[in-house]
Amino acid sequence: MIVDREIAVDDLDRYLRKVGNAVVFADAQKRVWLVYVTTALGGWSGSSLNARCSLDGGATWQPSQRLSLSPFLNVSELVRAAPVRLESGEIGLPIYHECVGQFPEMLWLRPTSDRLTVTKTRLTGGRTFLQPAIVPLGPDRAVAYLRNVSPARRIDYQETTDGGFTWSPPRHLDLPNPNSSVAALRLSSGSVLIAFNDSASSRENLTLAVSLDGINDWKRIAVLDEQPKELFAYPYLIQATDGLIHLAYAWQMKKIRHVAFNEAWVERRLSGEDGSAGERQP
Amino acid sequence: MIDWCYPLLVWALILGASTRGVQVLFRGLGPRWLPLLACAATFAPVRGLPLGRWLHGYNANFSIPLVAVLLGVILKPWLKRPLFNEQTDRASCWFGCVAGMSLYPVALGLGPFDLYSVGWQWPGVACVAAILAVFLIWRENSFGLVLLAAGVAWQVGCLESDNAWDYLVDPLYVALSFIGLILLLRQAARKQKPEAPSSSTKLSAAVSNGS
Repeated sequence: MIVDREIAVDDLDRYLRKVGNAVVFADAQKRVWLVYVTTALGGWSGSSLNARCSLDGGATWQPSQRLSLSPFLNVSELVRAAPVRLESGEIGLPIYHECVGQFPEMLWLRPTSDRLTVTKTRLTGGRTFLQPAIVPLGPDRAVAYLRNVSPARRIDYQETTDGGFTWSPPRHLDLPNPNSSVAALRLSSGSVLIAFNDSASSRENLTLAVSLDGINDWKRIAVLDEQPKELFAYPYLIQATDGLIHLAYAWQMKKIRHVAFNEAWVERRLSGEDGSAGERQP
Repeated sequence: MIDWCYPLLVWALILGASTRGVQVLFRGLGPRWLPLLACAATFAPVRGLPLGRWLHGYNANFSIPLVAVLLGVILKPWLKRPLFNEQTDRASCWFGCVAGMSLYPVALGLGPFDLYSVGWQWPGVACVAAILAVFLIWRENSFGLVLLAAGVAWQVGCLESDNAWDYLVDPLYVALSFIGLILLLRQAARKQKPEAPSSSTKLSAAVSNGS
């Protein structure tokens, strides 16, 4: 157990109602960090972010640290997507705000010993976009894919060409979005792999698609799950150091399904040589 | 350690000032040390944690101007004259309203730029506050000293947050500033139009003076 409500109350020395969404990552010094949300009042939109560090690869953990990120009672900052390691040694963690406004942000984390110092950059304001998934495309260039809560029902994207300091206005991708989260990953070929619900109205399927430039000409390569009236949602994509790509997602909102495949399988699917699905480990 | 004690002390002041407010509303209900007892209740253990640490879960980042306002309310019965004069109250209310109106709509998603992030940069917000503090001190307005104290608290790291905005404003202070400003403006309007004071005028004046 890394953290539960009791551990968080003890570490943070305050009343907490719930502990939720967590993201784990390692920094350049091999320290392992856990960033997770807690709530004291209301639902998940009242969440605050906290961090915990392990100096021994996850065997033991230092006390949690509350991250102060909002002037409004420090609430409504949530995390979901995978972080990006920056050349400066900082970590870029996609986060989002969902109280009154709904908008994506990027958290800049600077690890020092077992603590984090933070600043953040807003991707865009308003009440339309959530849960950004950031994919680096070059030294200063990255693209963020956004969950769209508006009636447009399209995945939106924003680009940065200055390492995340400023972002272009959101634009639609040619992929549908039923107000659901997406996950994305840059492959060694330079293409971008995205996991998403291929529907404008439901989460009844989970699909993989690939684009050469991460913006145009998306090619669907596999439907991982599809059942009427079921939900397949909240995908999370990472690539391990051995090159294997791991995808985890909520399966019918009852289990977490883990799917693992490699880039060769993606290439075969792209070229149409392989009609089979990837290796599944439910 | 100081960022552990500070929010606990502010929650003590909030409980004390709230008790004092109830006393004023009910015309001196209870002894004048009752607010101090309410302050002390913050340290009473509840299921292993001081009451103030439970409240700490709801907010840990209280601004320095809020502390000044709360101290003014609680200390009023023990002081020969108010801790802050009307000029200082007016400056505090205007600062809270302007800072709150500038910060909160933007922080809650209005527009693409996040003004809150300027609070992490140097010189940024701290520099503007320092210039305002010097100006107010030069004009012999005590609110300048409050802003100066906020700068010192930021350097010391009194709050869990290291964002300069959190040392200058918080939602409770902004809400009190709006109430205070409305009462001050009403008071000023009535001074211009002399008439027999009503009970509501007396109550407004009492609340704005923290008595």
